[in-house]
Amino acid sequence: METKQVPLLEGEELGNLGLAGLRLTLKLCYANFLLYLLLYVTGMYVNIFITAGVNTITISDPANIIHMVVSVLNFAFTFIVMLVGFIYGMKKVAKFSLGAVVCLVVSTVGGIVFLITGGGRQSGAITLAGGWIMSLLFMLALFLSYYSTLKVMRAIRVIEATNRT
Amino acid sequence: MLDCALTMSKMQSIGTAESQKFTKTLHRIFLFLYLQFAFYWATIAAGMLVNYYYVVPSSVQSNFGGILLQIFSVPSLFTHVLFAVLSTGMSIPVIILARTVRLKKVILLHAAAMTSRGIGFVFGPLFVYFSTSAISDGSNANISTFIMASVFLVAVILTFLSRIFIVREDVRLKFSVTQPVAPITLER
Repeated sequence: METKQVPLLEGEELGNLGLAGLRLTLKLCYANFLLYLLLYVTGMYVNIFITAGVNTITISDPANIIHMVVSVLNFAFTFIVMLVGFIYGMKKVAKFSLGAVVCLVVSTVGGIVFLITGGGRQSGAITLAGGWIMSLLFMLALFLSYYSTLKVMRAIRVIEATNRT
Repeated sequence: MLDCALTMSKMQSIGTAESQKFTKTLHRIFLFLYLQFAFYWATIAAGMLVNYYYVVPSSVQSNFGGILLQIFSVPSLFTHVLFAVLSTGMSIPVIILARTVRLKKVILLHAAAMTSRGIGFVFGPLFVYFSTSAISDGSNANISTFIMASVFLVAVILTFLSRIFIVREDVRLKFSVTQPVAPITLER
């Protein structure tokens, strides 16, 4: 009777952070999702109830300040996950998070362009372009962060399944 | 004893075949989820077009037929609704496939996502309704848009969560099946 040996961990990216560290990173990823949700809701609030098609918004508007504070936290969390990926040898986590970080930076630039060129939907083509960049790259960043979260979660499950620590 | 070993070996091969089938189904679900995410993104992009460039014309009548006609006659609005329907529709094959492998949580999450999108499909046309010149209720039009946008993200998060359960199952399956089979000693 022979034993069939299958390379169990082939294709799995576990890194060298350890189970406790990975669990902490996963919590950070989930917290980041809450921030994404908050960012989306505050953005929609500004879009629908403040600018409402014709009005403008300034940087000092309270809703905008909340939106920007959340976006800074969102950037920080995504950046930390990216660093964890790079430092602890989880290439996919690092790459997805790097993509998300780049998207967030460019979308922030888009948001600032939106604000400084008028801050309203009728302020011109550049303002709209800024809004476009901000919205589309936000969604892309959300998807990329999601995939890096999945990779962290998979690593935890694999480590648990193989009784590693 | 030899019979016992043969039976166990047969059971294991059946188990492996079943788990391979299971894995295949999970990977098919992954494909539909990729499509769904692409359609979500397209919905957002088309939604931005509507948001920035579309204003409900004063000629639109405030009834079901008028709103439906408006959806079909404005390209950006039609594209937005089309991608919204496609992204919601991707939950149907996911539910069907999840049923075959008995992933109850995935079924429930996608059913909830579809319900959430269903709410969006009510509030989207309501936005057009409240914006018609006959009704002209800006505040309710805003609330309708806000609800539509919020339930959209709820649906996105629900489908995201479903993938977490599929990955869990994938890992569980991989490591419960491919664990080395303990050698059976044959005694005579």
